[in-house]
Amino acid sequence: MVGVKKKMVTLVSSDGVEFVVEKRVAEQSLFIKNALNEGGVEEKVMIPIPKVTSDTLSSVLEYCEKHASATEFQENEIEEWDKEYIEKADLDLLYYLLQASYSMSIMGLMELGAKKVASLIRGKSPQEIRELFNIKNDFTPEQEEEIRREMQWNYE
Amino acid sequence: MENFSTVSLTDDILIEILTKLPLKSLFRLTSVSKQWQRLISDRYLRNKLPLMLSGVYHFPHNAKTGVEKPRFAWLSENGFEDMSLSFFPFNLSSTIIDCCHGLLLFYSSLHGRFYVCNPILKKWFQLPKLGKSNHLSILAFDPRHAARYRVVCFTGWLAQGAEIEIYSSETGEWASGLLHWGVDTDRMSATMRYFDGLLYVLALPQFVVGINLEGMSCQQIELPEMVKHDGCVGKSGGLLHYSSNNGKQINIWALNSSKWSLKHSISFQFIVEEPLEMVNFLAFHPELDIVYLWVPGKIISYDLMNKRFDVVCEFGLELKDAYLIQMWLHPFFSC
Repeated sequence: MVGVKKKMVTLVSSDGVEFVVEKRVAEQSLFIKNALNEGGVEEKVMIPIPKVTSDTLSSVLEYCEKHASATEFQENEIEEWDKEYIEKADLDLLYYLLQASYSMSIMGLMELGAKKVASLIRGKSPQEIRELFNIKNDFTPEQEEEIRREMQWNYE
Repeated sequence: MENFSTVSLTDDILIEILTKLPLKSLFRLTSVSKQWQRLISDRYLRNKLPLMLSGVYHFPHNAKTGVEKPRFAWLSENGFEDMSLSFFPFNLSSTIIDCCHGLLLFYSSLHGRFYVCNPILKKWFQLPKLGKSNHLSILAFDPRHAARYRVVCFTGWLAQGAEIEIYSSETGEWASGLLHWGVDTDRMSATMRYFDGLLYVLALPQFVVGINLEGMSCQQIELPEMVKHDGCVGKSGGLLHYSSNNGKQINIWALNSSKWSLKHSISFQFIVEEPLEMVNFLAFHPELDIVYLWVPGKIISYDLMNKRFDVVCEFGLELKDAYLIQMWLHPFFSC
């Protein structure tokens, strides 16, 4: 019906970009939901999202939008959508999505991202994993040898 | 190779990722870095991992091959997976005499030695020699309670008690003890279960004795109904539970503030067409109101709240005649 205004909120990314979204979309984030509850909902409310850049936030909101209307879809449709959504994220975005979903408390996105990263880890050797995550091997050769001995069966 | 060009993952996020990995590969990853090693051995992560289901089974007597030795299996993503025990050099010259929450106790009569094995991590340990003959030996281990294990050997029976020797993995030594269980010894069954530092022994027909291995004290608890066909004690949600199969149904009781209350009755006709004596009670879920039952060829879970059966795993043809002796649900451990 024309004239019925949807409740909107404005989210501000760490680099100062404003995103105006429906309240029900923003509330996919428990962090925002709590912030709204505490503040007493007013129109034109502005919520800063620290540590989340506009690129990441736009992708996060795409996820929230879909899941805010999840009831309109079949369960497998949502699953399919999730799969495509996370597939098209490159590794950097995946990393930022994980951070954002953690700080914004979006459990579903956290699960989705963590599962995706876990699937990248599976079947890789410790050295390949270090390369994947840019992790420095901070063990001394002696410590490494000790772990290797203890875990020998894994290398069989 | 494409990689994450960004800064390191925080502990919280890494934990989320690690809990999505299969347990087997998780332990290989301790060698990635100190952060990964610290997180993987952390109790918090362990508590977030799904519980493991493992059990011991054997095949019935076969005239051609003789009695098959008990075997150990765990439920992985590949189904009920037989763990090869070939890593353990005394596998052929010793026998599994007890098992508890995923650890195995072997005894070699040839060498007069006990061995404790962790088949999932493929680790084993030889216990110092016990200089006495013993009648019965059991393994007491509960990774939810403590990372140590004990081996308890009953070396002499008294009218209402026993002389015992206890090996503790903490001290690495055997220590002697004397138990008075306050019930005639000939009523004590060999059905023992260990939870939270207490060893529970069914004393037929209507008692369970809780033995505190720390203080050597015993507590007699009267059961709400007699042990008929099959009785089993366990811990769930912090409470002692008792299941009794009376031939018509399985009654599930819970002990709360010294009072037993009937939590549920499972009627058999809803389970399977199998004869009643073919259905065995296996285990209580340590947290949820779920129990596990064995019917030939299958492990079945039953949700007491929703009154729903689920097949946890179905054995293939090669395990069709296998008989599951015991099973546990336990967190991952590395001792």
